[in-house]
Amino acid sequence: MLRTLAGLTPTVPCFRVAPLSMADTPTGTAPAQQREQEQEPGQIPDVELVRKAQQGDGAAFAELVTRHQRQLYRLALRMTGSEADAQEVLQEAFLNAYQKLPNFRGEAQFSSWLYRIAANSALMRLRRKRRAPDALTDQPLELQGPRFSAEGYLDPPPRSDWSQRADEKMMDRELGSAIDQAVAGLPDDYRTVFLLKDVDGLSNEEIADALDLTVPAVKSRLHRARLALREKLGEFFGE
Amino acid sequence: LANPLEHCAECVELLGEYIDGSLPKERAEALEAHLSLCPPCITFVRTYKATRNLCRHKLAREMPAELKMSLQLFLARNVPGYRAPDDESGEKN
Repeated sequence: MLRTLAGLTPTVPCFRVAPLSMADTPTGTAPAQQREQEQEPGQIPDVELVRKAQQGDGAAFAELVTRHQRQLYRLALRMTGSEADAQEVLQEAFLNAYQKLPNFRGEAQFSSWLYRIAANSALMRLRRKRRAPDALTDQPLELQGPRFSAEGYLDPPPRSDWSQRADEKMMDRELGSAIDQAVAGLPDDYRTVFLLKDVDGLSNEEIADALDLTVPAVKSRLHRARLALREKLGEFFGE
Repeated sequence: LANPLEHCAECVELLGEYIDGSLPKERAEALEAHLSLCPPCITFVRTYKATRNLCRHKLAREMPAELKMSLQLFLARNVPGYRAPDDESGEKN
């Protein structure tokens, strides 16, 4: 008897527009002070730039923009799936952040606060476009994954180790299309979590903050997405 | 030596945290003990990791220079006193 991987059909709702409190404490993250230590050595800490920007220092705000624009761009691009939308989201998010800066009290990390603003902007945009306010909630999911025997063994076991061939085919165009297709086939929030983590390198905490998910929910979506993609790539490599 | 995980299903369930390095040491050792006894799971782990690497390689995107420029222009128009930095050395990857 075969069964699919336990919990492959999640019941947790997809990400949603987060209520944005300016003194927000992000969900499931390390305390702001602890994470602030991740600042690159020699750089003026964000918190100091924020303080200057709050006093009207435009150059300090510009420095914050420069520091965070790439990650924000990735977030916006992954959420909207469109370069043009990402541009709009970025503009809106930074302008919004500037206008709300006086209310930022530093209880959360600045980058988390910023991600949340951008994520909200992206979601609002998506909803306006789809004209379906709940388009991103409670999608029924049946993600493909490995199968197991009743005893808990992989069944069927992987037929071949295609990881070596994968390295050789890194530049293969057909493989590129297969990946695009497989990723596009993931449900929205799984795809977004996967891209932000595995492709763009955001931390679980940053993703959780931006998408208003708990860290365990991020980890779960990430793992399910990877399993589903592995199945699809296995098919490509003839597994 | 840690007692190996009994089932492949358990091994697969823990893989995400294992390859991200966030699995508690004891569980990671139990998983490795399972791998030492289970060739199908070794293959599974390798292809799971390869999936991540392939996607990263194929899907990575950098912020286009034109977009950086248009963002700077937009903010310069809308934020009083906004002054774009001379270089982008402060950018985070």
